[in-house]
Amino acid sequence: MVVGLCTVLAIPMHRAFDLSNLTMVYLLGVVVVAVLFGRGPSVLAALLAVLAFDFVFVPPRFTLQVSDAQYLVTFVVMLVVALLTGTLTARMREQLEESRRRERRTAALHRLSRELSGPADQDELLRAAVERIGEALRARVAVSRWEDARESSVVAGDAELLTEDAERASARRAFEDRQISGLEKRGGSGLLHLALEVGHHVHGVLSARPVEGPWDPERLQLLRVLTSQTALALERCRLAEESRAVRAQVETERARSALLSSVSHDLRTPLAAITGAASSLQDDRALPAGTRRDLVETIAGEAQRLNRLVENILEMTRLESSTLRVRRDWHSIEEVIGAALVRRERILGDRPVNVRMNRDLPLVSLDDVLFEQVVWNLVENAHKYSPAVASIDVSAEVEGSALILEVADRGPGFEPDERGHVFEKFYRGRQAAGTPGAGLGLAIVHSILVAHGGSIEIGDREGGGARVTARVPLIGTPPPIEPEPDAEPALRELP
Amino acid sequence: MSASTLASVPALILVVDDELPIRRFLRAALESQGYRLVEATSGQEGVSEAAMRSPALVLLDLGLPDIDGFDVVRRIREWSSMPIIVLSAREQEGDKIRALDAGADDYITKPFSMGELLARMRVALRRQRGEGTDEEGVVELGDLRIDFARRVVSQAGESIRLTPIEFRLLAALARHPGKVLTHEHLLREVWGPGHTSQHHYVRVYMAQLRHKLEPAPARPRYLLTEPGVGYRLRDPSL
Repeated sequence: MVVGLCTVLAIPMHRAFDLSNLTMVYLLGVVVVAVLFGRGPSVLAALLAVLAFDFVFVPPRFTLQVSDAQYLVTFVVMLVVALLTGTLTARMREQLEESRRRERRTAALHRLSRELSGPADQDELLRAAVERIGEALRARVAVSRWEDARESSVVAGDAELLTEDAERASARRAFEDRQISGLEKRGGSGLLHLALEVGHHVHGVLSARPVEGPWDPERLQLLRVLTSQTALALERCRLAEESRAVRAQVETERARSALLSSVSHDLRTPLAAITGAASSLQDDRALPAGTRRDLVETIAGEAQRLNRLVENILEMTRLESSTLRVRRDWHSIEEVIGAALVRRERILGDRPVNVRMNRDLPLVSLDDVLFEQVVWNLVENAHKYSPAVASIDVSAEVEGSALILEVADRGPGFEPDERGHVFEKFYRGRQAAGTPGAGLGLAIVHSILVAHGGSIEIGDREGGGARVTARVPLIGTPPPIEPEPDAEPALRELP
Repeated sequence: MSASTLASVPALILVVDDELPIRRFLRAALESQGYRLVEATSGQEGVSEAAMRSPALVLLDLGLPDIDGFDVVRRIREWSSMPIIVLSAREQEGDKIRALDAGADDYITKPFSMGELLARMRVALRRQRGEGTDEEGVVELGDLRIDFARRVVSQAGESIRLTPIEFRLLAALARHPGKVLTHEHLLREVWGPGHTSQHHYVRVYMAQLRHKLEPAPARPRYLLTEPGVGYRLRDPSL
């Protein structure tokens, strides 16, 4: 067609130019064909150009005969030049294409390796890999994991690729033999399976089927490279997970030994006091009544302290174990505060506690058992660290979409530099020296609030003292209460 | 049975607990208070002792080596209404509710003080003798006076206006003074059997009652909450 076009172009020029100049037009046509269609078509175009030139322009015109033998030389030269330029141009084009392909492949690899460096989680990584590889190869991709030769599951990508038994068997061969496998022969466009292997470890099998076109060598090469890159990323992920697990274990060990040293001291002190007091009572029956009473009080007090400590340790363990469930229901915060204050009224004794809250606070969705613990731990701290006659102020209010619970005391407050630590387990403030406790109270409060989606902060109180503010988000709308149908008072006046 | 005959014949208490230290301390403390004691170390033994000795009250540990404490409660309840107080460890609100549902009268959390246990025992024994549970009668708790027949509540001589539901709620608690009643129990008794899942109704009406009866509603004297379990009307005189 291009040759035809050249012929049409050359006809008007025939009058003005020499025949030798017209060959140039044909040569241009051959170059164009070479650029657009490559080597084969350019050779064909060269031959056709010579024929067309002979047929249309060389006298006698419109025959293939040649009147003058010198034109034969022209033909040969024209053919050789056309073939040479065509081939050279086509090779340039191929090189250009090759470098473009290389660029695309490099870009795909680069993108893949960049995306695979991000995720720390193997599943997330596989999802990203499947997507990238699918884009780069224009193929449907799936990754399956193999527990052993029989059990497998598709963990990322297109699960439909592996629904057929024959394909699963083929994927299993890839897993076992660690070689590329597929049901169709090489060069087809069928599903191929490759093991994701690094060293001796096979992470799984990657399966891919082109959306269009066959598995040409270049595509196959890209598939191999991308697969081994994914396998390397998986291995990195696995090693990172392993080292994280080791670190977590070290961390746990450290926490455990901190717990042991702290707890063993806190457990032994009251035990020593109890044992000592009890053995004195046992050995010496002639003790004066006052001394006996002191010893008995020591036993009772220390036992109580021991009990509180064990309670806190159990509570912390429960909060940290995965079995903790927040049992939410609609509760009145006034009732939760009341339950905490009444249950431990023996400990509070005559301590004045002011509770301030509006009468119309809504019911709040929370776990009352856990929240009673929050209220009590905060009140207990205030009680332990402030002078016995100073009142403890508890208040509750709704601010925006959160319930704010505040406990304030007139104790020494928190030191500025220890504020970041008070919610850590076993951390005890400097003011706490000499006061029994294991440093768990605020850590428990913190855990419970976090489990409720809330937060806690500590601050100074105007006029001196500590103020602890707990914030619980209000979730949902309290259920309605049907008004009492007959709200007439049940009372009849006493006679 | 009058108070004087009770005083002359010490009440027999059955203790079912597999822990020797607990039994030993209960024996020492209860005998010094004038009770007689019989001990059982397993659930089976507890059930048969309860049948043979018909004690005035059972103190039952839930964690027994052979059968479940709840089963002990259930088996005793098949033929007897003798008061059962369950001794339980903390952090087991579900267990407390199960024990109460199985028919236990009360529970007390370990470790407890002797004063607390004796108060609970007095409440349970008194309830068993039928005091303060008379539908036609009057219950007095501290300065609170509840007249069931005339549906009148007064505090320190002042009458208090209650709505019908508030009155029924207070009456339900006052029929079993000192006993823990679960949310389900109160809903069934006050609102009827169709409402047993709507716990928030009890909470809202309890708050209303507290604001009418309690001088400091956030530090109640009478209407006590047992978090996760239910409510208890306290007799401040015990």
